[in-house]
Amino acid sequence: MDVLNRAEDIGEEIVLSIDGLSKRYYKTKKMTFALKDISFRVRQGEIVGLLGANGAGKTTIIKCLTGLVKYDSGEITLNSFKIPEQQKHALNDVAIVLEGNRNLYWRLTVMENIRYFLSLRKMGKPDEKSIDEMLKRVSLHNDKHTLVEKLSRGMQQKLNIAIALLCKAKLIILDEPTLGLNIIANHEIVKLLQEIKLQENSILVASHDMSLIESIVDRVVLIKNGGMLVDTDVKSLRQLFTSTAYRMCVENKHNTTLQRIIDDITSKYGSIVIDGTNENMWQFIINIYDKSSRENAIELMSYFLANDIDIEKFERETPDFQHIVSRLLSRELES
Amino acid sequence: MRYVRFFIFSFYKELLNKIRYPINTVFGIIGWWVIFLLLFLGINIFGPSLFEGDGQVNLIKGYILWFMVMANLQEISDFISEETKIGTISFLFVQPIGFSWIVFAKVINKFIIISLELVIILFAIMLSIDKYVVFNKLYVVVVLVSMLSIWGWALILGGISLLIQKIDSIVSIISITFSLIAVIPKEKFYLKIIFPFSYGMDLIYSIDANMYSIMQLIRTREFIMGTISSLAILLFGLFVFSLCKKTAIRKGIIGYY
Repeated sequence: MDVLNRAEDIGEEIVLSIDGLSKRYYKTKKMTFALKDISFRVRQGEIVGLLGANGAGKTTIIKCLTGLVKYDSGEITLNSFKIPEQQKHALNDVAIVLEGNRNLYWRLTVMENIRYFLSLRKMGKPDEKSIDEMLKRVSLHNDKHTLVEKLSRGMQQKLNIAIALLCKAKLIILDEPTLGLNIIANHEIVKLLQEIKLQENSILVASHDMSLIESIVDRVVLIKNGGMLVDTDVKSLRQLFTSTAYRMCVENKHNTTLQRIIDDITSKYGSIVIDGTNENMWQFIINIYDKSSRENAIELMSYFLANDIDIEKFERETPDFQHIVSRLLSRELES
Repeated sequence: MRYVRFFIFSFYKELLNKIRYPINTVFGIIGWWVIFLLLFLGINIFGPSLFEGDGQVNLIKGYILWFMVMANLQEISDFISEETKIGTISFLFVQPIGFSWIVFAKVINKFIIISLELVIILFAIMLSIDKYVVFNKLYVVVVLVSMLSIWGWALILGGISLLIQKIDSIVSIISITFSLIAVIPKEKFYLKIIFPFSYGMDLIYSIDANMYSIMQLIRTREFIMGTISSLAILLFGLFVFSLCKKTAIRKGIIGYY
């Protein structure tokens, strides 16, 4: 746990606090840890991304903090109430969008769904004007009397988020909000969530959609095999890699066989990753962790020049968020 | 206030479901219509041996009560199975109003709707064939007391369905058991009192035979014992449902299908 420095508590109001959360499952008397000692916090107005591969434990964390699953040890405090003992009180100020099509009745219209789900909450009668405004905001105003089954998957997800926003909750929990969406719908949801970001709600979003996480979250909690790998802000995560990665592109103008070059350079410079090639252009990523690797990069440049291979580009790599997370998950950083 | 608002909207949602599945609703009404019509016309093909007494009127009363028992008995398990199938059950579990209240509102609203449908169809048939059956007002009391134990049984079945999702076979066995127990004379099987249909039918026959007033009825040993046993079954049902809910949460199987 805590590969990177954890973000310090800065004394703001804490909406969600998870300490030492663990959950075990028994399958034919064999114990498996679904979650191991997970701890993190979500502050007022903060957007935290819960990131991890499929089966990492993201949904289990959400199920534990909403009372859908009983955890074995640890402590969850949601809106100052203990979970699961004071679950009903805690959930009054939480809006949840669960994974998949699990949040709407398909045989009810958009408005009927909104009214039904708002009636389950401790709030005054929903104001028609604010519902109309919300529907306009999510571009569903013209479909308010349409049955949900007739809406596209993206529109259904927008409706889920609209209902969550209408709850006026302190914390919005989103589990895989872009799962199963096509590119356009995915883009619309990301745009909508970016708009929400400007409001005062805190958001906990669990996803393995890197582009979504990258574009909306302030802080990332990375989960791997039920354990916590990282709890840090996105900027720090990116900076860590920005300072250590360089990309080199070379042109193979003499048709030198690729295999000979690869064999040659990997035997000399083990830390070099051959990232991509096409017929004429090869790309190399050089990860510089220490002085010797930096020297390797210089030597590699010399190698190409000596072999009459032109270096087309040598630049500091702007790390792709997906790449960063992939490397963290493959424990590259720990090594 | 929010409970009242939710209760009203839940009722509205039940009505909407009737409208949104029109073929099912229409065929349901046609089915009842045909069965009641045949009963009113004196065609006793619906197992009169199951019901005490041999009169046509008793048969109609018996059928109404049997129908109420069966429709409400599987209400909670059907609701849980349906919500699990469409995937909304987890979402209902995380609502601040509480899942138990959602189930309560569903059960009461469904009972009201079924009762209204029955009353409307019965009166429509009686008017259309100009043949009338007199229903004693005290039957309402009997039905309400019977409902307490039906809901108790329904909570037990609902709890089991939270754990094993599909319980159609169990419901079928219980339905048959209830029907068969009804034909055993109460003198031979005193535990009949815990089976809502049997208890209700016996009480209806007692009301008819003795022409009780409400005050006389509530003082009868049969009524007192029946009410106590119905309340006990309801409490036991609540206990089992709560236990099954906790087990399902502990095992993390809410929403599994």
